[in-house]
Amino acid sequence: MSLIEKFKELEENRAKAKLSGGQEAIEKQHKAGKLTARERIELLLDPGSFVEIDSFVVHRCYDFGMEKRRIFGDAVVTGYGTINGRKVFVYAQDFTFIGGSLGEMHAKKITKIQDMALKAGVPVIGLNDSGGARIQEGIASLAGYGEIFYRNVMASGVIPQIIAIMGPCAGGAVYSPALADFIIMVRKTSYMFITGPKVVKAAIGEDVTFETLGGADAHAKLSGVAHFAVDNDEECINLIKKLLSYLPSNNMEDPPVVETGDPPDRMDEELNEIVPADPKKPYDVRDVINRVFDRGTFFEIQSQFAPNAVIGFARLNGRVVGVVANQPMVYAGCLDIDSSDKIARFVRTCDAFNIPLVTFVDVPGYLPGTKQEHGGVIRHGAKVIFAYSEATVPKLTVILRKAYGGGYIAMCSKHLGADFVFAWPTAEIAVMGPEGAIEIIHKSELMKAKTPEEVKEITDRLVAEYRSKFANPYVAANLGYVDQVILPKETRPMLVKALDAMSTKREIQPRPPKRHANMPV
Amino acid sequence: MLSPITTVRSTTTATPVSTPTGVSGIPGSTTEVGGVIKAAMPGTVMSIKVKVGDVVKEGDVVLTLETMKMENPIKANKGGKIKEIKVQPGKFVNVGDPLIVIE
Repeated sequence: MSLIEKFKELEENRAKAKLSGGQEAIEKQHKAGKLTARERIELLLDPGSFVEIDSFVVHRCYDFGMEKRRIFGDAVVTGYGTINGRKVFVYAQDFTFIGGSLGEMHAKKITKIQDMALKAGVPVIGLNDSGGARIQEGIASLAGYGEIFYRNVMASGVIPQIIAIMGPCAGGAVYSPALADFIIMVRKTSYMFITGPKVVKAAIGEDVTFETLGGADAHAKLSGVAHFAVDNDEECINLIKKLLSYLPSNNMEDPPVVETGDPPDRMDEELNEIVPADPKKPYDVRDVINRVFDRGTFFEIQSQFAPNAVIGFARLNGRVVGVVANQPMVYAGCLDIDSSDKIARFVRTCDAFNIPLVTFVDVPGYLPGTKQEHGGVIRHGAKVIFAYSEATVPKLTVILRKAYGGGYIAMCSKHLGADFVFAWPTAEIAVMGPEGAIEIIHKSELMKAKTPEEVKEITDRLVAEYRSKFANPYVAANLGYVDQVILPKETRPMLVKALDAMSTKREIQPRPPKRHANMPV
Repeated sequence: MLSPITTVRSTTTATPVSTPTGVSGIPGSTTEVGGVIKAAMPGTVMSIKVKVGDVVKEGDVVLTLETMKMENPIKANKGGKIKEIKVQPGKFVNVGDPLIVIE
């Protein structure tokens, strides 16, 4: 073979690899409303930045006629490139060849990317679109999943791992995304479940569709598995880029600082009007968040799941912060199983990636009831306390209104290591709500009342007394549990200064040496 | 034994990207199923602000529901005539219970 022929052979092989499952399969992919693996990567990365590796990997399965179905690339495109100039490693499963199924070599391509990303300290992005384990390869494909999972865990808390579900993702395949930091799902074209509708029907006789069982909305609203649900591939890719702009490349760096043009000393008078003085009146806590942080930078995460808590990233004078808030307009903003999970996971994500935490508190406590107790609200609720206590990033807290009982402690109180706790004049920091408290403290006095009217009269009087005496920010401020009582409009400048003051924070008392803590799960 | 991580603080810059549409979700107190306003939270009906035959606009408050001592205004999920009121003040409702039907 001459030199020219050798070069030509490479060109031909490259063309073959690019075509993967063939033109017909590509058209089928498009008809299903999906982009191909290569198109997705092209959209995701800066133009011309993608460097592919392992284009010529093939499987080595000789059973079930697989020796005739061998295509360069083995149904996954892998490599690296840049997003807005920042390095990332990426893999995209290619549904056009044997349904993007994962066998031994397919898995090896992915684990190679994971290893490189971890060594380089660079985020890894997975674009999943795969029918699952390649059955023909038997246990070798299971081994492949296991190797991927192991690396997901090794990389956890070191480099950001973002996985988009852009097609099927069933059975064992779901656990790699589940071990990553963020999951994005595309509506109608993607689903995730351990067992599909067929097996569900056979096993427990339940009739359910793919979409209901494991569609994007099911996971974004009900299970909390997905952090985002989007309408199509383009939206999904844009979301990954946006998400990445709030994250550092690894745990040894800070997230990128962006000049937002919003003055750090800006005071928003409207903040004074949002929280009603009457503790029975709800409001949208996002109205507070949007006015405090740099304009237009609040990026909500898991917006549909457990909406009684709000979490997301925002910028404060250009710096990325993680925002956690109770949402009084849903379940009065109480903590429950799902909101506890949502908050705890997010607090740990922020702590892992050097993102300071800003917590807004308006919490009446934990949700009562058998459903919650038997569902394990004790162990789930404990995660919030655990995550906040464990976090060593700067922790700033603003108590807007109610901060009662266990909810007060859990929501990043001074006692769990908050660096600064601010309270608005509307704050009611107390061991419990006034109504509950007087029922216990003044039980005997209430027992003396003869008529319901009399009970109401006494109750109203005692509640008012309790509220003015105990349910205010000053009792806690007298004790130093609140560092400062501030006007709502002063919140932004105060937080900017507090964040500045703590930007060089380090733990002065080293924590006891241990393998790892034992967080309740 | 673990050695404490000495954090290398480096600051890089990145250009902000545009906000994708349809990402933020709105937690509401109502769920829409063909003009039926259903309870999205368990609670006690405090007051009903409309009568059968009233015409409401989308977003008008039709009743208040007390949950965890919070008085939640429940808004009409679409405009139309009030066809039926399924609850009365003092009634305890669970998630998914129909409250008001709008024609």
